[in-house]
Amino acid sequence: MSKKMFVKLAFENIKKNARLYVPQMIITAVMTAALYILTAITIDERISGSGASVLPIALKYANPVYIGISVIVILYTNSFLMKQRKSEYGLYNVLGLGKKHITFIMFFEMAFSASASILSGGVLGLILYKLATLFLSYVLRVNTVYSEMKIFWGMLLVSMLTFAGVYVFTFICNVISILRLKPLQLVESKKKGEREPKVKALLLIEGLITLGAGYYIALTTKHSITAVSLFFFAVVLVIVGTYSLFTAGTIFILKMLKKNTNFYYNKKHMTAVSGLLYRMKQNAVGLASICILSTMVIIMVSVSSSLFARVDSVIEEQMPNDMEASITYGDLSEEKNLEVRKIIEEVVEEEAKKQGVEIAYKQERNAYAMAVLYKEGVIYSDLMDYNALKENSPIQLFCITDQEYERLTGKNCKVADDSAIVYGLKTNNIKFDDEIVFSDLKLKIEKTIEEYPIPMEAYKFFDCFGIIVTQKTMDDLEAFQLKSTDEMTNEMDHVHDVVFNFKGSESQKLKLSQAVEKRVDKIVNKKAKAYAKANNPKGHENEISRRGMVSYKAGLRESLYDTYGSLMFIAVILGMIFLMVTVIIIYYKQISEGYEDRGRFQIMQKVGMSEREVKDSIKTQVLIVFFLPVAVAAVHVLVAYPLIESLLMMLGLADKAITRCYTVGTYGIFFVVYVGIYLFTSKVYYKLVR
Amino acid sequence: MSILEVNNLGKIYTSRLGGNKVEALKSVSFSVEKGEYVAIMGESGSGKTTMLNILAALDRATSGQVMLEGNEITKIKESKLAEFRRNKLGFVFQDFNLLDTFTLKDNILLPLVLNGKSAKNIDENLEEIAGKLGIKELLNKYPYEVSGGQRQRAAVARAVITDPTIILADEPTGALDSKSTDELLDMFETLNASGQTILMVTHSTKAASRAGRVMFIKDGELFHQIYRGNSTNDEMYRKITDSLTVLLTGGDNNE
Repeated sequence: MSKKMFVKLAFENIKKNARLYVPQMIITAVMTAALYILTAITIDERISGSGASVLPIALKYANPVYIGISVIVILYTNSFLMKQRKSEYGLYNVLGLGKKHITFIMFFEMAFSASASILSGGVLGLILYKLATLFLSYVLRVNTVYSEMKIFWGMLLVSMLTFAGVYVFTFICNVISILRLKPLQLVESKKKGEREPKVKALLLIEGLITLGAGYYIALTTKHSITAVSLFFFAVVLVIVGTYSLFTAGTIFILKMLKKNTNFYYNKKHMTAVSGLLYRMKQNAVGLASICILSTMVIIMVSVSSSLFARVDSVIEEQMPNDMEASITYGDLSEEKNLEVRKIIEEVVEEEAKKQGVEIAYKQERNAYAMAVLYKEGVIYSDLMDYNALKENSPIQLFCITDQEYERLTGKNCKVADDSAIVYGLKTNNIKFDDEIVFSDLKLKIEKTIEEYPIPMEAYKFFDCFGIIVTQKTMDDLEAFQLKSTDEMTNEMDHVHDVVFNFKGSESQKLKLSQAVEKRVDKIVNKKAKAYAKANNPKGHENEISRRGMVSYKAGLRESLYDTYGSLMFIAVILGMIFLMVTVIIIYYKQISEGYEDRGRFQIMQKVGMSEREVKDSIKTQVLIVFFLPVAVAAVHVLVAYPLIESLLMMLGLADKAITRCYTVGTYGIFFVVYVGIYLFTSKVYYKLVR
Repeated sequence: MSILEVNNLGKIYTSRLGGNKVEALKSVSFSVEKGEYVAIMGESGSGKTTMLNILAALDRATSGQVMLEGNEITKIKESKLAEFRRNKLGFVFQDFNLLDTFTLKDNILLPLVLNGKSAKNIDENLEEIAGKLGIKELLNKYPYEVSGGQRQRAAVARAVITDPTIILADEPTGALDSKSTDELLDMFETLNASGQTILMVTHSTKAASRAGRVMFIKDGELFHQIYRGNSTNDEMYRKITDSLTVLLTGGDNNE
């Protein structure tokens, strides 16, 4: 037989089965394009050159996950295609084509569909790359203009070969499965009677346990530090549980319904229950995947967009002033600390004069910060070990004297010795009623205030609160802290800040800030080291050089947009891909059911159901199957939400109201898109059934 | 008393483009008495399946009328049709038409459930019928787990469970081996003996030879009919083959 005929046959087959092939080809093309974009970005110097440092690192982790998911998607679509086409291959076999010839046909079919989709995916990637970089420069807020079209041949090749490899793998699997079957088995493989699904008791119990455990962790974890690692553990548990319960749990419930004869032998229930029982067996895995993907999309997009939306306000919160220099040389005397600050101030003034920028506002702030441990109503100076931290809350406690408070705010302040005015003591984990109890002293809470002159936003990782005390009490607290046996915390950090506001354009401010940063790095830290050496010859130099910090708004802005813009970028791209994958899974599910339901539909009418009744029954089933995954996804999101919120609060970036808003909004948008997909695919479905 | 009356039934199929018209039935008239067992014979394309579909209200006639127990079924409203089919008619098909999502039991019970019967009444009915048809032990199996003959018996059970006015059987032995065919035909005979009216479309002489009356249909017209009278099955068989010979050769001469 001539090869030419096989080629023609293969081509015709794809054309004839366009309904099956086109979706697979589209998703392959899109995934190839996305892989090219995601990999090319990691090596594009224009992006790394613009200061984006987080994105390439994040993509290094995200890309393998993405590739893994793409492979699964291709395998899934392939298994579906094969199921539909096996009988066709069987017919060829019966008509006299050998298995070898069928392999040829299959090869050409794969070669056509794979090369067409992968090549167009490559082209699509090249075109969309520019769009992606435009979007990227927007979310990262960088001004780089990506005007010229740049092609990263290496990455293009890698992306295309990756998917080509996946196709070759599926081809080998398909050939093996075809070779194994006899012609008649092939012809009848679509009609093969399905056994009634059995309740897999072990799987059911395992699913209940894993999902329950995942939920339990999500709902009970309170302490932020342990939350991160536990969160991922919980995610894995919930994924495993979801798969098990979709496969075993749904069948269990349906069987229970079936056993209840009064419920089951009812006009409305009978066909629906047994129909669902059937559908669930075939679709459980697909539905569980839709559920997991939906949950991921919703959480990923809502989290990153709610963070991204808050960046500007976070900048204002964390740095209300143009520049902040904080000097916290714990191991230097207070005088030396102040001396270092003086030098920084001089540098700023000199540079400002040099650049013609006027200093609009300047304020020096003096406070003390203590890292302590809260355990069962008592504050200890020892942080102890990590295990203690897991169960108890580390606290960052800020102290200023009454005189400093008056100086900073211009308000009068009266506080007695051994008493404190308290700010921000309303966290989840700490509770003091009318006195703050330290392991060996007590401070009476005199009153509570709503504003504190030292910003704590940057310390949100811990539970923070601030107090105002007299100088004498401050000395007592210092003595308390010195008793700590923990080297990291056995001293009180002297926080000596100076903040500036400048009059000038953003670019002037940026230039000034960068110049100051450079000089402070050089001069001030060198000086500090010298001080430290004189003071403490054995001193830990590395420790010291870290602590003279100048931070400025423009820098904070850059680093925040770098981080959260990157997150947003990845979330949007992966979100779109996941959504497409969901569409594809749903589409194939609908088609395969459409083919099968057609026969059932006719029989039901023949034995005396009206067209209306049949349609209603099928509609109920399709609706339940369709919306079960999004409903479960909603429950997942709801359960995960408190933990996610506390993780975000820990990052110090989130705002509860905004996060809630964005989560609900994301779910809403997702739901609308999902309903759209449903309406579209059910059209295809009813066309098949009729 | 005639239970089914067919008067001047005609059916014209128009091809989708509206060009060709095919006259599947030309003015067919006959009647079936209560308790009768009638077979309709004819070659493929003779119009017998079209007629059965019209009697089953699955298809609409172009002209003429069908009266079942004095009601004209061509005038039944679309919305009442399903109920009518469920209560008055029982179906047995060549390819069984059992739902593979149901056990045999549920397949049999489906018409009753659709009629809104309660679970209790349902079971009593089922016991009796399943016992009669010899599928009591198979009730909890699925259609694909049992043989063709057993499937067809379940289909018969489904047809009779609503106690229908008439059973319409479309080539019921078409997919069965000879042993199962015999069993099925015995079953029909028993049902008929207990008063059940049966109308069976077939081209199997053997199946037709068990009926009380055989009608021959050709090119959409009722051609001939023979009554059993006091004949044995074998005599009936011979009568039918004779008629078929006439039917074939006579047809040729006519053209």
